[in-house]
Amino acid sequence: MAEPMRRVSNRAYLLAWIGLVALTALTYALAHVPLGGWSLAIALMIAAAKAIVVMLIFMHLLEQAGGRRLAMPAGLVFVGLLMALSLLDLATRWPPTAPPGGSASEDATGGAPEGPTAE
Amino acid sequence: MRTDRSLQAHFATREQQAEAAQLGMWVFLTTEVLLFAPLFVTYFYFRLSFHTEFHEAGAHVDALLGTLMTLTLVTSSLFAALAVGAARHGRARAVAPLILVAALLGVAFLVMHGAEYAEHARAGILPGRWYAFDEVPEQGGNLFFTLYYLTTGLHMFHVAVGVSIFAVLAWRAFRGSYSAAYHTPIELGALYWHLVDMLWLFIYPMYYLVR
Repeated sequence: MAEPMRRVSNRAYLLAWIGLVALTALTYALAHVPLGGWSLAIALMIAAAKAIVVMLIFMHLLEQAGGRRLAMPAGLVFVGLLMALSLLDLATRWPPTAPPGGSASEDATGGAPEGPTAE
Repeated sequence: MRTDRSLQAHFATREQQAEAAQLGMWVFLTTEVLLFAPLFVTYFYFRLSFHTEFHEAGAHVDALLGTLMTLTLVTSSLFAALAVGAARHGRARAVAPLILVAALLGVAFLVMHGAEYAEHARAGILPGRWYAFDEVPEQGGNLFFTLYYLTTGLHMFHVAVGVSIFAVLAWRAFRGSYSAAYHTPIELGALYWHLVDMLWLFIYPMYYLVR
């Protein structure tokens, strides 16, 4: 009925951990390199790579079959879509349609709303 | 709680029962990601709007401490995974200590976080209306740190829940409740812990490495 289940070994756990530590060190090192606007994008890509290692090895996604293999990736695709489309909307608004930047701190500053700083 | 050792009437086999439990956990974990997603979207939006202020504010978050916290959680995840491996192979004696180490690393994470919060509070870096930090402009700076407290606070709550779950699992493992044939709670507890670790992997560059 079911194919024989492949089990993730202790060796794989250790290798995954070494990879995660190395990627963390790389992220920390890159934070000191001036990469401008790319620094967050690169750091998040490394984080995504680390998350994939955690899911495949530590969370045993590698050995799952059927619906259990799909649940998390499918969920992540839809969360990703939701986040991307929300941000696409927010990032492409032109100033008059954007919410006033200071709305959260209006009370403290006596309600002088400045628009979001351009850029 | 003894009953969950036995096979429920609506499952054909023990494996099927364990697999159903795992599927349920995966679906729950996806909803957890959904819970954090709005906080991430808010962060990215305000980072676009308050680019300069976010960078000024980020410089006041300790990157080295954040890295240490990341390594602590990642190592804790390793021990959780090793505990699952031990449970699967029926090495029941090893399960309790391994889970205990994972939980203690979780506690270490909480302690570091607490120390960090205390230091921020002393400097006047507090969320919302209590914000009293002069070095970063209120507009933008307040947003950054309010989001910082919300996101890391929600995450910290998850770590605390995970530590509590591990404490119970370690105790039950110590009492000999789990075997190679039945250790679903260990598998599910570890899954939850790994997700909490994963969320932190994204929080870390967003708040600790902004320079």
